[in-house]
Amino acid sequence: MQTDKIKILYVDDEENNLNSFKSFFRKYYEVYIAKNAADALRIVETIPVEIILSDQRMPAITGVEFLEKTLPFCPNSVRILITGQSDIDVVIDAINRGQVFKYIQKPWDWEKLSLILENASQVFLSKKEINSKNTELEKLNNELNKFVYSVSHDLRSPLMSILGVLELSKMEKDSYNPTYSKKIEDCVLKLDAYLRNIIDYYINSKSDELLQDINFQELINDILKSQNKIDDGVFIETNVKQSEEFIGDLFRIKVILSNLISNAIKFKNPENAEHKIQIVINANQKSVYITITDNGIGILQEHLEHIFKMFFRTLTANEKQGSGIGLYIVKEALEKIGGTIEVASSLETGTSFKIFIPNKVNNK
Amino acid sequence: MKPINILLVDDSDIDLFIHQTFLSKCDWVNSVIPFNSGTLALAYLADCTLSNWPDLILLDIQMPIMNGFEFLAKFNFFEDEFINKCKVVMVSSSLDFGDNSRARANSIALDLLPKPLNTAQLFEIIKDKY
Repeated sequence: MQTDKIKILYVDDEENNLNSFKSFFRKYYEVYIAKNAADALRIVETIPVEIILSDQRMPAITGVEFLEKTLPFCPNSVRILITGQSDIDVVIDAINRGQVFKYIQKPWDWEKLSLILENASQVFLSKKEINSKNTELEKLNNELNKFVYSVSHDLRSPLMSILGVLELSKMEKDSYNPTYSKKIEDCVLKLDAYLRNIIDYYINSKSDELLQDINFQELINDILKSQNKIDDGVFIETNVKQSEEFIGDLFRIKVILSNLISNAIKFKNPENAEHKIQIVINANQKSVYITITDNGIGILQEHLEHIFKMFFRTLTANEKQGSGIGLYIVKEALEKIGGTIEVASSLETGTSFKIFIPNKVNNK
Repeated sequence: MKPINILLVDDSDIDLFIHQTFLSKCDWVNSVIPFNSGTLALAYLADCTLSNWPDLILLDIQMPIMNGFEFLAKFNFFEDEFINKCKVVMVSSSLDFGDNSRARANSIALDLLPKPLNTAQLFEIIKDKY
């Protein structure tokens, strides 16, 4: 693939070498050449080169010194030193100071050089893979830490509230107090919602995409039916256009829509007599666009960039609070199925989420 | 001890209700004013004079936007005369070791109590502070 060519930088004060190297390897690699170390450093600073070859004998600076200087810019690149004559001290120095992968003697053998560059490419690619795996592991570990912290508070706090209410009803010796029962019920529902979120999060992070035929009208009816309580004064308008077969990950799409719809229901603006939610779905053979708009309390501009982070919560005027996981799951699930999400919100008019999900009708 | 005036700061409305009901049954309590965010409590305090300044703040640790520690950092900007008149006791349902040690290390907070609040325990902590 054109775009995936490994980038090689070769620095040498002999222009003939540079030119023959470039013409030999340009077909297989993206080749950058430099006549001196200063030019080469400028390239290293701006372009993430993956293999660096340097001649040892240059006028201002030795190859080893140059390779050492490139370390801060591209620590993962593979470095190769080219020496005019066999000089064991130079080679030892090179390995110790410049993290040099191989050294090559001039004049080189083209076949050998090709092989060394191929090896160097492999080494670079595996380094890169290890790095991306490490980043992924760090992210998971970080999430796990946040998760334990959150569990220690969010799962425990409704339980402690229930204990508190029970304590109160014991003190009052009143066998049945509807206010207290209602408080306990609220706590139990909160705890249950939190546990469901955790399970959704877990399934999303572990399982692969499972493709199924999706009928959006049925899906929306299903989701609306499963919403716990829809208060009076909430009006949900749906408009589904689907003319073609749509193949997608039903579980994840359901999780995404359920979270967004339950947020739209939950965060209503108490100043509005009517809480309106509009769900528009447009599915065609390539993709589906879904818009969920509400006239609720909206989201502060400074909070918008944080809403998809794990355990981010805003304090809302009508005392309803989320677990801080919902939108995080939405974003993670969309990433897994190649979708995107955009949000626009204002405290006056409410919030609107726009989702795009590709139709996998050809991948089934 | 003269009955005291208490401010509650907690994002959980159920806990505010529980604490308010508990405390209103205690004979050493004069008044209880609940706030569901640190921001609202600070705005109230900014309008107080020394005469209606509370004697005790019961402060939750884990709250969105402004947590208990952030509240204390802002509370610290009031004049010493005011700060000294008011004791702060933190409350939390958290078992997090970091949070709990931070609360105990804080110079303004007297102590940290677990939820649900035990009013007898609270009284023990504050009874000889006034």
